[in-house]
Amino acid sequence: MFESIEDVKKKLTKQNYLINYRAATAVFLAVKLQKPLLIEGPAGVGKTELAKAVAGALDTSLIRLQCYEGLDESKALFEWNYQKQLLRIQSNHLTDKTWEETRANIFSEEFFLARPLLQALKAENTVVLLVDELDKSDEEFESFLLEALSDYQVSIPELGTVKASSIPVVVLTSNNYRELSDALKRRCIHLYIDYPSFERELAIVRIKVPEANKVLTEKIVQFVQSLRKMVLKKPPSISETLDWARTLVLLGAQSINEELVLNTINILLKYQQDIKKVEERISGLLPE
Amino acid sequence: MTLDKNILQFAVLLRKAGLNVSHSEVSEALKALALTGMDKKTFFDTLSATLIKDQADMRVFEKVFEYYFAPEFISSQRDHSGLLSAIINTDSQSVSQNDCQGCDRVPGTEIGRSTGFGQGQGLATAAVDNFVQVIKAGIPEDMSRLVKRGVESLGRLDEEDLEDMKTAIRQVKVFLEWNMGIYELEKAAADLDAKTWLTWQERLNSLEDKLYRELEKKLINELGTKALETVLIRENLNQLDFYRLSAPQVAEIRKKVSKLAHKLASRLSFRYKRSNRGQVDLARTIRKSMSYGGVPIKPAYRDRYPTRPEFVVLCDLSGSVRVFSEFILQLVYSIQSRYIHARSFVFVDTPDEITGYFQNREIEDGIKDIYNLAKFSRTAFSDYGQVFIDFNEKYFDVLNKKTTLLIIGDARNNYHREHAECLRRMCQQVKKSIWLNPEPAERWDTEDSLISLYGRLCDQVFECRNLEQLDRAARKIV
Ligand SMILES: Nc1ncnc2c1ncn2[C@@H]1O[C@H](COP(=O)(O)OP(=O)(O)O)[C@@H](O)[C@H]1O
Ligand SMILES: [Mg+2]
Repeated sequence: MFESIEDVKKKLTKQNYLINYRAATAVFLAVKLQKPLLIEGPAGVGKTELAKAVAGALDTSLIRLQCYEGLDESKALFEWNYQKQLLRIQSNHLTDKTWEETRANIFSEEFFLARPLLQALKAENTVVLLVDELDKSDEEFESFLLEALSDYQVSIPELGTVKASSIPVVVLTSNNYRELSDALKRRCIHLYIDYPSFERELAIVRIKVPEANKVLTEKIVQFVQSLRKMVLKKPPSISETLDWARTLVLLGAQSINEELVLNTINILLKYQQDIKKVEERISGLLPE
Repeated sequence: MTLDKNILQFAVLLRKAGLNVSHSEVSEALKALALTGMDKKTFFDTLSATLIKDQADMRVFEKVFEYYFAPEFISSQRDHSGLLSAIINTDSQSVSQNDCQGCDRVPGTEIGRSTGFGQGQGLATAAVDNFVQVIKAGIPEDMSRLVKRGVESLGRLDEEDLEDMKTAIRQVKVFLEWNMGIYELEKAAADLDAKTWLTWQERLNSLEDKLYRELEKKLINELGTKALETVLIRENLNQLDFYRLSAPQVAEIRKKVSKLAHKLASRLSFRYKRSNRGQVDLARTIRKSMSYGGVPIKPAYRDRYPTRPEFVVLCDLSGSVRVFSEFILQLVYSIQSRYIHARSFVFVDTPDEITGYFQNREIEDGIKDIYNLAKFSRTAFSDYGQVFIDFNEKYFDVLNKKTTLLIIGDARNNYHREHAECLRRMCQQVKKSIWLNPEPAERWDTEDSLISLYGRLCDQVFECRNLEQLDRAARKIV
């Protein structure tokens, strides 16, 4: 467990995740109050990574439920192991078992596949349950999740009611593709992660791409930070900064110049209109 | 007063400012405070993590926090004085005013307010230089000091300043030679790179923000609880009049409008999903069965997709209505591609179609293009009558019995001719006609407003002066 906000900071840093004080406070509170932590913010600022780092810091496993359109409660809870069932049917076929026997057999616990949500509830010790990109799921799924998280139990016809043996640390993330319900938000500790400050981004690049020399790293971060001041359709995120840094290292760059930037800009920017905008005023954007 | 009570009071103020804070969240905040430290930063982070669930609410939260938990305020509360006495007790402003003796004061401000003309000619350059220096250096403390000095130049404040902050702000800007300063900066920026200019602009915005806050704090200190509540109620985005929004408020409302668009879209998509299952169309089933000798072998279903509702939107882009019209355009275009079919027109004294401006584009770019490319203003003065005449002439065929006609405007016609007959013809041609007026109803029909005259010809007229009303109207229309 975490002892204090400072302790959160320290332990996450050990996981190579650099966190600011505000975010550390939210993590600390969520864990202590046993409330879900809802993290919002643009793509690539470290939402998913934070959940992983928390699991690492607490020395426990991370169970991840990736959301998508059409995800429903049964897929989040359990499935029958269809392939294994088929195999059993085939092999039983060769014996003298009746169909009734086979059927009773293949719908038993042995063929049962617990999906993330159920796994998290059934886990012996406290795990981290990451419900990633919740905004991509449908509203019906969201309300099901809200119910499951309000008393940490679910009822499944085949199994009865399953109650968490130890309450998991729950992290929900959203890219704001759709607005989450007020009811869900009310239950959560909220954290908005924005693009990082210059100092923090510099530190992140140093940790994640130590091969890059000091000057190069600084120039990279300066440039990315100045891009974020422009009005862009999709500003570069930390993940893009890291990709760019790795590419430049591969290219053997010691520093950046106009030509190099223009040749690699598509790593930072995904939209043609953004690239055009930057090309037009590239000289003003480059650090001295 | 105990901390608990302070937090409860704080929550009440947050609600006044338009943030939804529930009781369960308040009790969560109290539990959280028991776990964390009591330095101001942790205190702030703890409260915001438990009470605020939407980044768009953060600015308002910060403001309420800053005003309510002002140092003077907290210290006065320890000796169990309430909100009111705390505010009254913080009248230390007169002391700090003396600290300012060394600063370059414009003569005459001690006695009255500067009027903006011919004031302090001799010192003008000093003030401009100072302003320019502060922006160039960008040291937060200096920026604060600058606005503080500016606001203090106003002397004692009264109710009128609270009512009409913009005038007070203007006076401060005159005192600080604000506009001259910007002019100097623009001149200097011409020789510099884009980055520097962007930074300066950012600082100018933050200086303006600081200026408003400083003025509000002074108002609260001098006028008491009522001022605090007035200031916070003004932050309530849901009830804020569209015609007096500050720039950050416009940005926040834009976000709320896109939320509203999401909500409308998900309602519409729900409608589609339901109809996906398909209802049996009896008439068509029987018709189809004829080829099988009257045996209904295959049932025919109704269209899987109901036809998209069709809208024709006519937006006034003049003066104070403009902001509202832009919200409407944003709303229309965020749901248009998938769920509705819309053709849009803008006008000041003549209509021009802008439907194509938004196709596969960002809304901001589309709106920018309207001002650059569309031809909707010959004289720059509203003329509804002429607009209706021109619309009848050029675009009448876009109207039919399937369309809903949506007119956005204040119906202020500059005393031009009404040409109500042209509007009548348009309204009769469509399925439904709706007028959205962003002006407060108490001002309808005053001066050159023709809203009743025009409104009578439409099926519905809505007052749409704030987000709450827009929300309600939108739900009724879609
Ligand atoms: N604070 C941080 N410290 C270290 N690495 C980070 C941090 N924030 C983001 N990253 C890195 O940025 C990348 C994107 O993070 P990710 O969690 O996938 O973003 P998101 O989930 O917000 O879209 C990852 O490679 C991650 O390692
Ligand atoms: Mg992610």
